[in-house]
Amino acid sequence: MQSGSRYIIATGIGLLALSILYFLSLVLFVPFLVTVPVIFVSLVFIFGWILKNAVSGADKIKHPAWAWVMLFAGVSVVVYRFPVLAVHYGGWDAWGIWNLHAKYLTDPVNWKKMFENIYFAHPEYPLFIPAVNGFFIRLFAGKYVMAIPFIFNFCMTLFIPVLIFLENVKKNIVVAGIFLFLFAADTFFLTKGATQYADTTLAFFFLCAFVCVNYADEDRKFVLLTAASAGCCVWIKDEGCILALIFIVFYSQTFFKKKNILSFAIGAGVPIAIYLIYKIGYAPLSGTMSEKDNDMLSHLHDWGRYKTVYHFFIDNVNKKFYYVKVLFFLYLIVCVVQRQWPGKQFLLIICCMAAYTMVYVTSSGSIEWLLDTSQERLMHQLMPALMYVFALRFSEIQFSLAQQKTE
Amino acid sequence: MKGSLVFMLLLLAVITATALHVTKNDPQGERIDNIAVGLKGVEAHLPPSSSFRITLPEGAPWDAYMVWQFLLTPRYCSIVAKERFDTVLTIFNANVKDSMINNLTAKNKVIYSESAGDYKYYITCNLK
Repeated sequence: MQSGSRYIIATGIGLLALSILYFLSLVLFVPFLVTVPVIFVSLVFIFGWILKNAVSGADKIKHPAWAWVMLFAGVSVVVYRFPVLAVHYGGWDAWGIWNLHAKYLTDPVNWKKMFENIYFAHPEYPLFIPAVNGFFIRLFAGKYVMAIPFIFNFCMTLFIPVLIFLENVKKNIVVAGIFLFLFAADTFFLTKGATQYADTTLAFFFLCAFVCVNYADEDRKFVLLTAASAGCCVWIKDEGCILALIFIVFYSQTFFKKKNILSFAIGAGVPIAIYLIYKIGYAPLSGTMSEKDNDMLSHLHDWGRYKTVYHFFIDNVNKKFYYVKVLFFLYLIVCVVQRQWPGKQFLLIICCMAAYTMVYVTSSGSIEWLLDTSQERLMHQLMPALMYVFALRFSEIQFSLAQQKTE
Repeated sequence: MKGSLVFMLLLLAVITATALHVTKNDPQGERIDNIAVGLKGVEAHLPPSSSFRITLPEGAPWDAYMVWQFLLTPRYCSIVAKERFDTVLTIFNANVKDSMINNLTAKNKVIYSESAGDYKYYITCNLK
């Protein structure tokens, strides 16, 4: 793995550790003066461990100067567009849920008061984002309530295209550059990050799992990082449980190898255990869980519901993910030309989309309202991982052509 | 590509974007900041551990409640009718008619009142 990618993964895993340690410090009444150095030492350890032996073969490849120019230009476009699309305190869900919870978590005495607000603020939502933002807001004595969630969400948004770029630049600089600029030019993608909702963060960690698992054979460290990234999805949002479960099932052969099982257990076990402690010990019952009706089975046979989901899906694809649609068909054409099946990671994402569809089909209440308010966000969660899969396949085209020539 | 240089580039990007964000003109953000300044007195009279009912200014949409909820955290304020609290924070528009204020103060004990910016705040207790 490129050392640049390692820095990004290390930041993500560092934030995961920070959120867990800060949440535990609140639960166990640990003084902030103790929590801060413990978190600092943990971050130093995590960065040191992930960056150890970071100079790989990929780093020794000399990239042309314009790889840097391309990266600088892509990052600059995101830097200039992102603040324009953002409002100071984010969108409704940001200060109505995520940043509200973050503010609660800045108060070590009264943070549990957030559980009283069961009507509008969803106190049952996992605490990854609120714990990270809450920690930093508290660290700066409540002075940067507006800036800290912005910085967090900007990082998550920026890391996605940069990680995909870094992972492909060693194989095909043109493909890497095109994907970087597609993200930088995608107003919908940037807006979702700028609203400070949790979907971009979930998308980032799901992408990290995809990236790390491709290095699982190199070092057991990457098995742990893959499992931690997948486990973190659970600690970010409830939908993350579906993503993590499907991911673990698809890579069960890798995770449950004798040599990898301990790394998997530590990586996935810690965030999932924290999630369960929170859900069982503190969070009130979620609205969707308590409202589940008994019509689930009859909904399964209602083809009209599948049709509705499909129509919303096509509408969202055409309006908000149009270039992903083009790349999707291009990917299938490449598979046909190369006489190869679509890869495992591609099928994994299709499976996640199918699982989301089943959630909609079996849900109670108005399916139209649910789709209207959430389907585009669920697609946004999967989109970066899908783009990574496309980029990897397109990057290999040049390689296979070159190989054919040498043959 | 050297990881430390990539990391420095990302750090520079974060600093630049944050500077652009906090210095830009944003009416929604400025409105929330102004309300926050006006709430200092209210915050001083409602302990962080308190729970109370909130009544929104006339004409405000129900979700405007989230602004005050956000700013008054970690206190819990409720607009749910079935939740009963002794303490009520009533928010009026600055140009509210005197009769409406009299109606409130006649029936309740006023703990604190203040006019701040676009709003007038009354903390009342229903035990008079």
